[in-house]
Formats: sequence, structure tokens, C-alpha cells
Amino acid sequence: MTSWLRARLPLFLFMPLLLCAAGVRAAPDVLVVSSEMGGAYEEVADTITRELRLSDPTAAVEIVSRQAFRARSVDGIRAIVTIGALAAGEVILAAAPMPVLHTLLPQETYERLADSAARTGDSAIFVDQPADRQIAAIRAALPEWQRLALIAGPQTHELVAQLARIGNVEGFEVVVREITSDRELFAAMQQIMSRPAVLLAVPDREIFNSHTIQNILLTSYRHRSPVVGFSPAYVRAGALLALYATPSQIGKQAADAIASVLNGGRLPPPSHSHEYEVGVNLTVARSLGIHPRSAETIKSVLSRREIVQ
Amino acid sequence: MNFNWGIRSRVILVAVLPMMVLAIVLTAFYMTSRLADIEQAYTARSTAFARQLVAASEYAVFSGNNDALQQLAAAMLAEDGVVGVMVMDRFGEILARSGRPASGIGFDKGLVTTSLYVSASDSLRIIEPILPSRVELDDGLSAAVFESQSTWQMPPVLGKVVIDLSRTHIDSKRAELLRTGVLTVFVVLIGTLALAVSMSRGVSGPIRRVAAAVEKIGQGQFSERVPIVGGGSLRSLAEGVNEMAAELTSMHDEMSRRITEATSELRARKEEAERANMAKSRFLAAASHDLRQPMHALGLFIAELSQHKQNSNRERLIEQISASAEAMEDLLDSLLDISKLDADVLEPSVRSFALQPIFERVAGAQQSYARERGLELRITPTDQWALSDPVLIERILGNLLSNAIRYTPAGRIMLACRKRGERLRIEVRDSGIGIPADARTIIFQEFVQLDNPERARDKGLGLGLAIVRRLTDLLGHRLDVRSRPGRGSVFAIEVPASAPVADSPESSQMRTPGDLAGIRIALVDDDPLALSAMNGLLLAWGCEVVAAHNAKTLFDLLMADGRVPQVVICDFRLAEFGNGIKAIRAIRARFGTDLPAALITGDTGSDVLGLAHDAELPLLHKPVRPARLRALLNRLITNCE
Repeated sequence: MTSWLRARLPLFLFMPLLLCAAGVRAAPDVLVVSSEMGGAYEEVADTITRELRLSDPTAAVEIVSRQAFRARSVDGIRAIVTIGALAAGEVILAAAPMPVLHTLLPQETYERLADSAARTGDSAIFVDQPADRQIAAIRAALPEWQRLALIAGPQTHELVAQLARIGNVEGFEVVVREITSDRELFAAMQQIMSRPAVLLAVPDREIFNSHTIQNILLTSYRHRSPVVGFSPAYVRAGALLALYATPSQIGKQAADAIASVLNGGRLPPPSHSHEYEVGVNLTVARSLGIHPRSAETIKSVLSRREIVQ
Repeated sequence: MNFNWGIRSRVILVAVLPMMVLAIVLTAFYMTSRLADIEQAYTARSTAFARQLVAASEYAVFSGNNDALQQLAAAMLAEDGVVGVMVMDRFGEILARSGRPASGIGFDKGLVTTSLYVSASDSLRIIEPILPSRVELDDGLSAAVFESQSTWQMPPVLGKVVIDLSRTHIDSKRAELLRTGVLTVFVVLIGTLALAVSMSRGVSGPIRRVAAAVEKIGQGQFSERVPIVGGGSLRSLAEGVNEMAAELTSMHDEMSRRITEATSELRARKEEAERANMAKSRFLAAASHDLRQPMHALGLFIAELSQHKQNSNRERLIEQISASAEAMEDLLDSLLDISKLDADVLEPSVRSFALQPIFERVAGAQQSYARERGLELRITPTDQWALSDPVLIERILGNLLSNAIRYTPAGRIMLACRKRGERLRIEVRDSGIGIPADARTIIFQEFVQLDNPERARDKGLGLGLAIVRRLTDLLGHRLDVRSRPGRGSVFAIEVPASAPVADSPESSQMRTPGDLAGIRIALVDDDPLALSAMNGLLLAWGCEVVAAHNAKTLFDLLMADGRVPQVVICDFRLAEFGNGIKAIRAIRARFGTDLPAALITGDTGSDVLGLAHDAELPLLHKPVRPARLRALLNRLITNCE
């Protein structure tokens, strides 16, 4: 009974929305489809709603879950925003005719989905940071560090290869090890950190996860090497540095893009978030005896660099 | 619960039992809970060891640092109770090991995800998974980043730690706890017992003092008192006992006083009675002696008188005088018999004898009397022989027959014998007035005569049955009476039966007495009347009599005569020589020691009988019946011959 209710609860919750869609109310201008409710997803959705209301108070925004989206008609909707990879997949599958902006999904995922759907006019705002920005951030934060260590898992060959390439361009001595399971992790780290190096964590769940991160941090610490992560949680867990876009930054960028669509324009091309944050763990820095530049300094360096580019 | 326990035991039980139960229950409870605590603490401590080792070895397992693991394992082994430590990776490969694994617990290489406890008799194994410490990375952004990736989760378990602990430690603790518990119970019990004993002394002491006092009072120590201690029931008990003792003392004193009074009174009465009895005896002895002397003489005179020719009128008178004299002699004889029996000088001469001759004689003697009263007296002929004293049996039967005739107004009297096994039952049956049941014992007392309140002389003296009883007692024969008032009575004696004897002494008795004519008789009696009467009688029988009033005269007369006497008859009471026995001894000294002699006396005292018995001299009592004197003379002469 409980499991039955739990499985169908979202359906009941969204029943009023479905009824509205069936003609009680006029279709919204913007439909936000979220992979999940709550957390970063909700923050993104809220930000979009808020920002759109600021720019165009008449625009109606409706937020649905990806499950609710399946049973919903998209007639009369002018633009769709997806939040998360799963919502993106759902919407792409529905082949809606209006422009779709995908947010909060990795670039690699978006490219795979877009390739399979062969749609035009859609756009995306990636959750991950561009490789060059990350490398540049490391360079900006730790100008005197020359070694860059990378560990590639089964799902992150290409990303690591790209990072290695850019690292090389930036003048780093890049050390890469490819592993297939976490059993090989320690051996790989031993090798790549035979001399102190900056370990750049990549979003590969098999290698970098809640269970391994402690030992990774510990091992790198013992090798006097800092770790650079890709979310604020890494900084909290003991990474020296992390470069990330906050949900509201992404949401704001998405709202701007949708506003231009509502104003008769087109979506901008897929891109990483324009705005981002730099997190620095000064305690770790002190422990390692490292003196990184401040987050503001790094951001300003990166801004200058991107402007130049 | 019916035990014969004293107060003290009960008090001790009451005090000790609940304490003992409480001590045991509490000790058991606390020991159990303490043992559980120890076990729990031990397990917790062991788990802490394991977790500590897990935490310490996580990175070493991750990093494959087996040296570090080995060091950790070795360090863990140093902990108290740890006998074996093993660290394994997730594939069951042993990374480090120290100590020896506990025997008795199987080994499983499989992975565990939670703590596992394996318990054996002497060891405990803790298997703790090595789980990597989890650091939360799944904030919203990371989740978004990883959303599209496969949901594959690596097994978080890195390996496991196996710690074997010995139970010796816990066992010794348990044993120590048990020892302490038992000791505690023991100490508590001893203490309780001591307390109970001292308490019971307080409770039972007063009661035991009361009990002891009561026991002493029971033994007669009425002065004993219970000290009054405490209050309530104890106090009233002690007071009650003391009151009881006081009451008993006064009662005892009163009783003692009364008994003393009664005793002294009894003693006085007894002495008085004895004095009276002695006086009576003296009187009786003197009276019978003094009566006998004239009776003796009277008898002799009558006998002599009857020898002479008289006219018929005088003869009738003489006959009546003779009958009266005989009745008086019978009375005196009976009195004499009683006194003999009282004196215990009669010795039964038990022998075998035929009953028929005795029956005939007795019946013959009473026949005329029966006929006078118009009664039929019959005997049933018998050929039985009895073992007893024939003379005494004859006397018994004679008395019973005369008694029967006396109390039978009409009908018949029967004397019969029947054999009952080894005994003979001799019965005297009459058709007389009978004896009431309540009188059957008193009839055997002296001078008791039923149905004769006027004490008519023709109904006898009331001594017959008394003599019968004394004689049967003397012979050891059973005597019984059956009677129905108005229908008659049966008196029976039981005597032992005997086989017939060929030459019975009875036959010699049956011999007819010989002629006394020409028999020389020396006669000594200091009573001139008696001497004269006796002399006349003997002369009438044709005897030659040398009569003297003392021995000296007798000697003179005999010397003058120049002949030796054949029989000496001497009075017992003589002034000369003191008594007749000494006189006879003197005469015998002169005329031969085997000279037959007899004593005559008017004394009925037992001392005279005794003396005559000792001197082996026959004794005749005055008044001597002529027939009896004749029989004696016959016997003396016959024995001499």
C-alpha cells in the first residue's frame, strides 16, 4: 500500500496541473521540466521563475517533474527549460516543437543526447566547467606548481585526454593514469604522485565518490599534493580548490536566454555558465604548506583571460 | 509441616529462611546481571578493539600497506584477551595476521557488511567489515554532474578484520564473581544464623526457663519459681506457673498433713485392733483350755457312767448328756482345727489312695444324721484313686456332707466323683435351699451362717466351710460352688487322679483296732479330776493303768510295781519339769527311748502344737473323745509292735 502510494504520489500532486493543461487554464509560456524536485534543481527552477518575472511579468512559468511531463500536452507552450540530464532526455524524447533549453547537465551528456536527437534550435547551459577554465584556474591559483596529475576512469577517457592536452598547452607536466576500478586507484596515485602534483578530479563516479574521496585526499596529502575538485563539497571534504557554477548562476543565465526567446529571439548556442565560483580551502592549504591565491584573485585572473579570449 | 521442633528451632527457621531466600535470590539476581554486564562490557570492549582496528586499518587496506596492517595486528594482539588478529581484503585474501585463530570456530572468507559475533565455548570471534569512511560529496551539483552516469555502486567494503578473543579472562572474572557471590551468601547466612540464634535465645529463653521450672515442679520441687521477665503472654505464663506452683505447694502440704494424720490414726487403730486380737486370742486359748479340762473330765465320766448298768430312765439321761457333751466337743474340735490351720503346723501327707472307702466312711458317719432329717444320702460308687492327703480329704468331705444335710430341708444328698483328664472332680450335691450369688464368697468365712440369724445350735457353728476352704488351700485343690437358690447347691473339689497302688497304707488303717485289755499305761496329769476320769475310762477298757499327778510319783509307783509301762500318756502342762514333753523325755530315759507316748492338753495355742510337733509326739486335745483315745492307743501299740 505504502509503496503503491509512494509510486503514485507525484501523479496525485500534479493532478491539478494536468487538469489545468486540459483546458481549465491557458497553457503557460514557459514549461520547466525538472529531473528531480528540491535541492539544486529547485533552486534553478526558482531562479528562472523569479528572473523571468522580473524581465517579463506577463510570462507564465510552470514547473513540472519529468514524470508529469510525459502525460502533458505541450500545446501553446513557447519554450521549455529542462533541469538535469534525465529531464533533458525525457523532453528530447518527446520531440516538442518549441525551443528547449537544457540546464544543469554535463557537456558530454548534452552532446550525446543532441547527437542522438539531431534537433536544431535547442541550447544548453552545462553544469561542469570548461576544461580550459579549470586548467587556467589551477594555473592562476598555484602558479608555481608544474605537475598536473589526472586519473581517468572508464567513462572519462575523452575528458581526461582533453584536460591533458590543455594542460600541456598551459605548460603543465601532465601525468595521466587510466584505471578500470577503484582497486587500482591507490597504485595509480602512487605513480602519478611520485612527485607532488596537482590532482584534478574528474566527474567519474567509479573513481571519485563518497567512499573513495577520503582515501584519495589522504593519499594525496601524504604525497604533499593538493586535489582540485568540481563542486563545493570537494572543498569542504579537503580539496584545495574547486571551480563551479551555482544553481542560481545557471538559473539566471537560463532565464536570460528564455527571455530572449519570449521576446521573439533565439536561444544562444550551448555554453558553460558564464558565471562561476571559485572555492578555496585555506585550512588544507596551510596543512600542505601551500599559499594559493585568493578566490577573488583567481576569478579576476580568469575573467581577464576570458575577456582576452 | 509436622516437625517435632522446639521453639528455638522454629525461631531460627523463621529468622533464617526468609533471609536465606533473600540472600540467595538477591545474590543470584545481581550475579546474573553482573555477569551479563561483564559479558556485555567484554563484547563492547572487543567491538571497540575491532572498530579501532578497522578505523586504523582502513587506509592501510586501501593503500595495500600490509606492513602497517601487520604492525596494527601485532599491536592489537597485545591487548588483554586478544589471541588472534587477522585483516583480510575484500577478496578474502589475508593481508595481516598475528596470534593464532581461535580453535573451534570455522573460518569464512566471505565478505561481511555488518559486525558479526561468533561465540564458542572458550573464545569469541568478532568480524568487523572495513568500510571506507564516507565523505558527503552528493550536493546538488555533484548529483547533477553524475546524473547521467550509470548507477553502478562499487562495493564499499574494503575487507574485514577478524579478532579472536579468549574467554579465559571473562571466565576468570565470572569465577571470581561466583566466588564472591557464594562467599557473600555464606557470610550473610552465618551472620543471620548468629543473629537468629541470639534472637531465639531471647525468645525461647523465658519459655525454656518456664519449661524447666514446670519440669522441676513436676518432679516435686514445689518451691521452684519462674523469674518474671518481659511482658504480655510471657509474663502471664510465668505468673500462671508460679501461681500453679504455689497452689500445688499448699495442696501438697495439706495432703501431707492429712496423710500423716490419717496414717497415725490408722496406726493407732491397727495397734488397737492388734491388741484386741491378741486379747481375743489369749482369751480364746485360755477359755478353750479351761473349758477343755472339765469337758475332758465330763466326757470321761460319761463314758465311764455308760459302762455301768443303769435303769432305762438313767440311760436315756446319760445318752442325752453324752450327746450334749459331744456337740460341745465338736465345737471345740472345730475351733481347734481352725487354730491348727492358723498355726500352719498341719503338714499334709500326700499319697495315693482309693476314694471309695473314704466315701463309704464319710457317708456312713453322716447316714444316721441324714436319716434323722428325712433325707436320702447316696454315694456313686467309684474306683478312682486320688493323690492327696486322705485324712484331710475325709475331713473336707465330712464337712461338706454335714453342711449339705444341714441346709437341705428335703430331698437328697449325693456324693460322686468323675474323672476329668488328669483330675478328679468330687462333688457334693444337694437339693437344698441354695446360696445366693452374692453370698458365695462369704460362706467360706468363719462363723458365717446363712439363714441362721438366731444361731440355732443344731445348725452348726459356721466353721465347716471355713475349714474346708483352709484345707483345700493347704492341699492346693480347687474348690468351687455352683448353686441356684431354692434348687440346691453343688460343692466340688478337684484333686489329682492317681493310678491304683497295690499295697496301700490305707489298708493298715482299715485294720480293726485290737483289744486294749492288759495294756499297761502310765498316766500323768496334775489335774486330779481329769486324771481320775481318764483312769476310769482306761480301766473300763481293761487297761492296766499307773496313774500319777506327777512324774516322780509315777516313778515311785512304777518302781513299786516293778513293771515297765507300754504307753505313756502325759498332760502337757505340768508343774514339774515345766511341761509334759520334758516329763516324757525323763520317763523314756528311765524305761526306754522308744517307749510310745502321747500328750494331752487343754491348750489350743499354736505354741503347744509346735512343740509337740517338734518332739514328734502325738497330741490330743482335751476333752479327749474316748474313740479318739482308743484309736491313738491302738496306733501307738501297733507301731511299737
